[in-house]
Amino acid sequence: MKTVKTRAKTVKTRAKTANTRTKTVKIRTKTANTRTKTANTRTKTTNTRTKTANTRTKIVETKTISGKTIAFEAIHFASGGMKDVHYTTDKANVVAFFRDPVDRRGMERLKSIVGPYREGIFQNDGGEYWSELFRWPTDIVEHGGRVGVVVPAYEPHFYFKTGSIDNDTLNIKGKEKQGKWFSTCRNHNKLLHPEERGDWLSRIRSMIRVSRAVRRMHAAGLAHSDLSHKNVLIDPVSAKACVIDIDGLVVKGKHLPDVIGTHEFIAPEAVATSHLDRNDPKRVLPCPVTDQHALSVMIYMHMLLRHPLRGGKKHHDDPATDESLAMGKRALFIEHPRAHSNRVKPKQLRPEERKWGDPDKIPYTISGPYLTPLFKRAFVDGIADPRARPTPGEWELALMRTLDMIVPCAPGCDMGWHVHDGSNRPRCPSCGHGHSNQVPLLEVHSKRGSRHTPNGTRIAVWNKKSLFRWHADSEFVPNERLPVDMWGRVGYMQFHAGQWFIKNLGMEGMRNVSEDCEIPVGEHVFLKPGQILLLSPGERGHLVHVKMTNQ
Amino acid sequence: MRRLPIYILLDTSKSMEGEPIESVKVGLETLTTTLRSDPHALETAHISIITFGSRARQVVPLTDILSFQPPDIRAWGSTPMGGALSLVADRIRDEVRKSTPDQKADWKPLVFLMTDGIPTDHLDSGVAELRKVKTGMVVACAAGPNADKDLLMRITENVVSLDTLDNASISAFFKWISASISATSQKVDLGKQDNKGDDGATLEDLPPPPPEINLH
Repeated sequence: MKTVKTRAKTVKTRAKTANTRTKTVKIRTKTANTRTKTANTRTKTTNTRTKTANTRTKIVETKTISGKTIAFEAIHFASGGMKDVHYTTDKANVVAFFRDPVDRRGMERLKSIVGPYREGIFQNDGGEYWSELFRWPTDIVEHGGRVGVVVPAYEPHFYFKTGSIDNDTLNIKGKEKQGKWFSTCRNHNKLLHPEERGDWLSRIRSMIRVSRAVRRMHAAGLAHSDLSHKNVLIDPVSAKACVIDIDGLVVKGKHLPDVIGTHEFIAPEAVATSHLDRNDPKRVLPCPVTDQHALSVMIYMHMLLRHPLRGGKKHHDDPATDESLAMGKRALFIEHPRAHSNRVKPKQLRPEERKWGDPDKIPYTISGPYLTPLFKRAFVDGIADPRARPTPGEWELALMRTLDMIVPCAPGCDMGWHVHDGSNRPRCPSCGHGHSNQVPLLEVHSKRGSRHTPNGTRIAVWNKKSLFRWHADSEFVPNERLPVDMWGRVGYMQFHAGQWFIKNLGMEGMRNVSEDCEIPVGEHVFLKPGQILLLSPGERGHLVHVKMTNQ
Repeated sequence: MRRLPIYILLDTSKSMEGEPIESVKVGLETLTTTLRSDPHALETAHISIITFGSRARQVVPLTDILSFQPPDIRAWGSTPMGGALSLVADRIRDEVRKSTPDQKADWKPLVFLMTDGIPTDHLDSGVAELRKVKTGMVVACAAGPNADKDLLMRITENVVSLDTLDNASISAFFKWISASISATSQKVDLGKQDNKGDDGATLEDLPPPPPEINLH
């Protein structure tokens, strides 16, 4: 193979003997082989080159800049926009080589990424927690005149297991779960196999992880600079997410951006100034504030299956000019409460887009009382005023609070869950179903001085919903700082014989304030309208008022 | 949703018989499979196939990737390349949506042409027709030793060539077309198509071609 240069030791080995750790890899190799086979039988000729490539894999052995020996396959298995990606022989890592030369500044940046920036995040408190939220480069390889980064391989749940509908008609089994699959009506609702779709609960949970990861980067002074569907893997099935392509980090005054970003996600001010020279003071380049726009777009698209700025307004006859105006200078939220010119025109929608693609049918306000104001700040105020944009930490908190306000929907509903709107007759905005039993809402109060006052959060009750330490006490927050042994549930709620009760599994000092009695661990309490319960007696403990809805 | 139209013009003259035409068929199948597994292409890309052997014919009208089926093609007759260019101009005029007060225009169409020989009809009148419509990038591929690269330069400055007409080269060409469509559909998804037409966008805007493909 031409790609193998003389410096490195090359060894031939049979592909079969290579230690394939993950199933997905096997699937991929298989598909590749069958495809070539078909090609060969059809044309009667044998393509020796490809055959050799498939049955024998050349291995390159070299040293990383930190001095570790690394062995990787000479032939890349994937090619991205800027890099060719090779598996290491143990499949635990990949080596991603930049096709273009990396200059001195670029090299400095890579060294900072695998060195101090990485250590800052992974070797501090809760460092271990981040390993599944990032595929962070760990080392650098210089080989054959090219520079590459060593990155942990993706976890198996980020490859499709069932793939698309009709026995995977699109042949995507074993392919990466790029965000684009889960954020358009056509891909998500029409083409993906229902087993791959997840539901609204898992979408909220995966977006919490994305927000948390971005929050952590920003806290370290790092901007990702290219958050997009390609650079964030999502698994709606396990509600996981992972930020990838971390080699383009931007640090103000130190590491400048290489790319302007991915257009659907580029902040309007960056699009509008993209014609200017990069040294022009008016030019807006990727930075934490543009990341904030990208993150807001991503959350909107995953929750609502449409783009917040792609509406019916035509700006120009030329398609490219029209597009850059729509995403840049004249960007306008399709659900802007006052300016209506970019509203979606339902007759321009494809059949599969007629429900989720139409904000009149599914408005963004279905996202509930915590997310609605953030979307408004991102796309009503934040378009012209970047400072109004929600921070990743604000998204994380609002998404977590929303998670406590959703209730399960009827079987067959395409959301599966919806936000309880606090009214007496909650209904699903997607399928229109109501609920057959009473739905209790717990209004949470926190101590202020000597009194408990509402803290603005609510917990919607559903059968077998777990209560965790953070529900009982603000001392605990479910993020990277919470010790592993604090994540277990401390109670649950159940509907039994026409009545709701809370079972106390670990809330020490829980009291029924209305009846002035203790609810010891192991006991339960039936929920009644107007009842007041103290979940934790601590300084930051919560008191809840029970409200019955759907009476 | 703005569509990305792609017109693929294939030489199906007698000289393509045997391995070349079979390789083209396999190439079209690979292209279909690749684009159907690309979430960006699935959203925007639409494909049409025009063949030119004995006469120019649109064998598949502009079709969504999801419904696109690779056509059965046969090698037969002469090489009416000029006719194929006039036909694609006519189809673009008819099938590609223009901007109206009520509708956003489609992206400018990408045109790929592959031939193993020299035109047996009037090429320049076809070229003149093609110039009358708005296109995105037009790529012409001279496949094998009998194709005339210089002649193709009259159609577009984006000319590539294959040294041989075997399966390896032809499949490499189709893989490169697929990669180019994927890259463009992602870009247009993002609104960055270099829509300067034939005289603006260059091959450098497409993914790097494999070693089987020579640039000119």
